[in-house]
Amino acid sequence: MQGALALLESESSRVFTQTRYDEFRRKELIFRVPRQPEEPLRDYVTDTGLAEPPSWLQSNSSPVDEVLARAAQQTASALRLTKKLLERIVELKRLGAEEELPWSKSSEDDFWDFVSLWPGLSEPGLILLDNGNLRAVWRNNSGEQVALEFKGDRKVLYVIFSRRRDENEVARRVGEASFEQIVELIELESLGELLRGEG
Amino acid sequence: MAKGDLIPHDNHVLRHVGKSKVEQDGRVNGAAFMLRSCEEGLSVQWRQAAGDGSVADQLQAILRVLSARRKVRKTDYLVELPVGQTRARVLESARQLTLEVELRFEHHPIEQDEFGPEDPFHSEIRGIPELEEGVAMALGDIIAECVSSQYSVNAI
Repeated sequence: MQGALALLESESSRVFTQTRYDEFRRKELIFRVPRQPEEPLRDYVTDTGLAEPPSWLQSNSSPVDEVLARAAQQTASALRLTKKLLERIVELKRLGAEEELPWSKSSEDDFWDFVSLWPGLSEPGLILLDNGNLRAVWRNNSGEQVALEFKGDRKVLYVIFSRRRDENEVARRVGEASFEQIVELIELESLGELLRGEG
Repeated sequence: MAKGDLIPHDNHVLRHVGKSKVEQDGRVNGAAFMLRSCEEGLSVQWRQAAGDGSVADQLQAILRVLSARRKVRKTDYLVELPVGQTRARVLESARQLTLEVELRFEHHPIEQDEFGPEDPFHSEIRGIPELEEGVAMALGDIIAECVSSQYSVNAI
């Protein structure tokens, strides 16, 4: 948009009207790409021919910019989490070798699959069990937790401590579930925010 | 005290835990308190049985005996549980799992044998029922919530 305005302002008139705009569109446009930063423009269009400029033009960033910025932020945060978890997995492999514990590749694969299911996931506490499986735990300050042992074959052993609204006591749930079932249960217990580090 | 005697409520026991059971922020995971098959009770060390000296002296005495009987790595931890508080907390919280768990902290000193010298501090947390894996893990998580202190072997 700024490029077009710049071209318009180099015409003889400084007034941008619908007629001049149509005339301008008929011409062949050649955009010059500067090799180095240019001096800021000193002359501006003073009349767009519209009573009020569109709202998106008034804001500093367009809705598209905001969506792109959010997507970039999410990607950066997912990359940061992946890096942290990779470092932890490497550490657990080393500790497991030192403590002569087995390592379950299918548990690790399931862990990564689960992580990819949750955009905006926060970093869980991650430990290695004596049977070689990984166990991940998300907690908050209210005593709630979602702890998942990844058993392979997209199955988890869960230990969930949740606090219902208007209830002081913590409800404790234990069981085995498929990925689909545990995702449903976490949402049902309103613990999705806990996994995202917001609860 | 005789073998099997109960440890006083205001005393503490220490559980030897590998670093693989300690989360990134230093918190001990409930998996550290899972009963292994063929174990009658969770193996722990009775801190106050190591004399009336400072905690540091008690820890050193316990670590000396423990290292003589089993492999202890510098990255490992000794994790402390207060006897009375742990009993009460587990009794209350396990009811939410529809379990009646009355833990008993018993003194079970070990005499010199083929594994090493005597261990006068050795004790066991008994009263943990045989449970399905998931419920046992949940009980471990409840016990882990009672941890009052933890000591890095490297710093003892």
